[in-house]
Amino acid sequence: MFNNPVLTFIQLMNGISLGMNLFIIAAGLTLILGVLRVLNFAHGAFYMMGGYICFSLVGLFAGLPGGFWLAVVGSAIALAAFAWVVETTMLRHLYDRDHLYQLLFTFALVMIISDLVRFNWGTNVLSVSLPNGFRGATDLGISFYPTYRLLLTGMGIFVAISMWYFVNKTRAGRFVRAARQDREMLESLGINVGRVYMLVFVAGSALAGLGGALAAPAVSLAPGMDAEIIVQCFIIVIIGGLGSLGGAFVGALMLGLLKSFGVMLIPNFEIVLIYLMMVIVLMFRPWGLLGKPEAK
Amino acid sequence: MITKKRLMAVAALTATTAIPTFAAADEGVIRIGALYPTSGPCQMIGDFALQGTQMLVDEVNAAGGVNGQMLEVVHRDSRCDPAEATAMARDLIAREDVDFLVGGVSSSVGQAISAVSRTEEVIYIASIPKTVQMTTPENLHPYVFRSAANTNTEGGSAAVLADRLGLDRICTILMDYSYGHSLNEAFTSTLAEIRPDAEIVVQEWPQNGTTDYTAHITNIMAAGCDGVFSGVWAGLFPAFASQAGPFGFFDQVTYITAGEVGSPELAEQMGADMPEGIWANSYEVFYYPDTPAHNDFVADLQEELGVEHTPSWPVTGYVALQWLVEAMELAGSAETDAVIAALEGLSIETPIGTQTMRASDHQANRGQFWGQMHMSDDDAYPYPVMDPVEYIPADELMD
Repeated sequence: MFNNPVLTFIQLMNGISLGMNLFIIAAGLTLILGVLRVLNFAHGAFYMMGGYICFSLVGLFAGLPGGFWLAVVGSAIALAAFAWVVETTMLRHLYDRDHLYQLLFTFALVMIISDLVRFNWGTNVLSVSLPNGFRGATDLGISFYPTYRLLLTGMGIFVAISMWYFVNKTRAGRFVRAARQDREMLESLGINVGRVYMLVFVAGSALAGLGGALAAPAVSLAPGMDAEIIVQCFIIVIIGGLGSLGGAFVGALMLGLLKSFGVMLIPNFEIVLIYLMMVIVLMFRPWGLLGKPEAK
Repeated sequence: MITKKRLMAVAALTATTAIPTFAAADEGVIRIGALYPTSGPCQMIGDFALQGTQMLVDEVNAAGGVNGQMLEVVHRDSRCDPAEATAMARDLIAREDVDFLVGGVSSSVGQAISAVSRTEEVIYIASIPKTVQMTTPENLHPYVFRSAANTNTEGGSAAVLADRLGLDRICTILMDYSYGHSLNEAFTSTLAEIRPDAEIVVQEWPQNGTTDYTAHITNIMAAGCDGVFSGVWAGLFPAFASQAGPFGFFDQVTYITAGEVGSPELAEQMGADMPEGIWANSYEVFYYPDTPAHNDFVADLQEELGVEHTPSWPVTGYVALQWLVEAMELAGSAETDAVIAALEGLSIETPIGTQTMRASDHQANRGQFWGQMHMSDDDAYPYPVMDPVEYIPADELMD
């Protein structure tokens, strides 16, 4: 079991890097949920689009040095632009409606994006090569570990720190926090809340695109890849607390570690473990680990 | 409240469904019902298999048909979905009045079509579905035949390779659904027979639909095995390879994989990302065997598809229909009972060699092409190819 320290260390790294990749995606979901109060079902579909756009851009930038990284940035920008169109033309008209309308709308987006992906890229499984310089492994002293997964881990931590800094230490971040707490008050102070919402939706969606593009070399692209990721992101957001960035970080880490050590220790129950963890968290803290109970 | 408008709509709807759309069953034409997925996740396989089917129909018709009768293919999209395949198979029989059914891709679809063929008493040739379940005594019936290799052959031939490569400590990584479990049974039982001293060290069962294999890869690498038998099939393999490669996985173990990872389609898609030196299989490869029959087939297929390097799936559709054509010629008729009698024990010359349909369980002795993946040294085809490549026959393995 834990008598093999190298194996334990690698599984630990596996869990962390998986968790950090999930965090990039879940962070966008929880940000949108916290500020806009919209549960974006299409967040997984945005992630899928990010992966597919990355695939096409990698082909387009094939000759350029650092083509893959341009493709990653391009995917995030493409998703930001797509989200901007969705928000300004459709979603913003639904904020004042019942939650059911928003759910229906984002669910419709899932269907539309899924068909767009099929139409544009077909149904075959596609794959993106690992970028140059990240195909091998790095010596961590205890063992070698794939460089690209180390990079994913680093990216996750980088996103976490920069989001924490933005939300807590900047003026724009103050508006985001304020919009999360009291929309009317913010409006009465003369802040354009509609604009804050739009920017948050665009930024959250760009994170989904970034996550999809970064995941593309590590997973295969296939229609339906959005379903698995959105379920995992929901679990992360629920465990961590709706709208809580720190919660999403903890939740993603727990999910990643549970998956890798689950496969190592009790492979037959690996799938159940995740749901079990969610049930336990909800029993003792229905508002999530780092969430706040709803004010009565 | 039922409004007048709604009543009208209901009436209109009933009227449309009631209009019979029977295709006039032309006497003198033999109608083949083909069930291949031409949409959904198995689309590529279905498209190619259907093209292979059509190619044989064109050849036969150009040569004057079968017993003087022309062949006609009626296709329905089975969408890789057993429920859809059942409905479409019934539709082909009831509305299109087909004489035979061919096709299916996934094992569950094969079983669904087989059930229809049993109740409707229409011969069904399973061209791609592999599960042994279809031909076990409790599921076997007079109307189902299989031209595809079954999972016993696939898993068994991997065990033959493991024996030849001298592997003694073997790990397995197989997907946790019927295909993976059938492969496991075939592999472990054949291995126990031909290499009793070999040990199965660790067995990993990734969930169907998983995208992250890293934890399984780590477990295998820590287990200290010298060989790995895998059922991570072609559609899943690129992700697996990109996760396992950086760990040095393919350098540490001898990797033998089922699931058509050696097919030219996947080799071309993966290019340099295909790990060097792994052992993989394919239904067919255009570069082997170098026989007149196979070379002619490849040349025809090149013309049909307009590509220089032909894919591996068309042969499945082609051979499935070839069984029917040759059986009808032998029987001198297209009557179901006569064709069944002719098929049992029939031997035919396919583009990839002689094959025999066993009378006992209606399973063709279809073997598999296996080989070690290496980058081709042909400048005109800069992709991995199987080298060496061989055909491992099914006769000793398919039970």
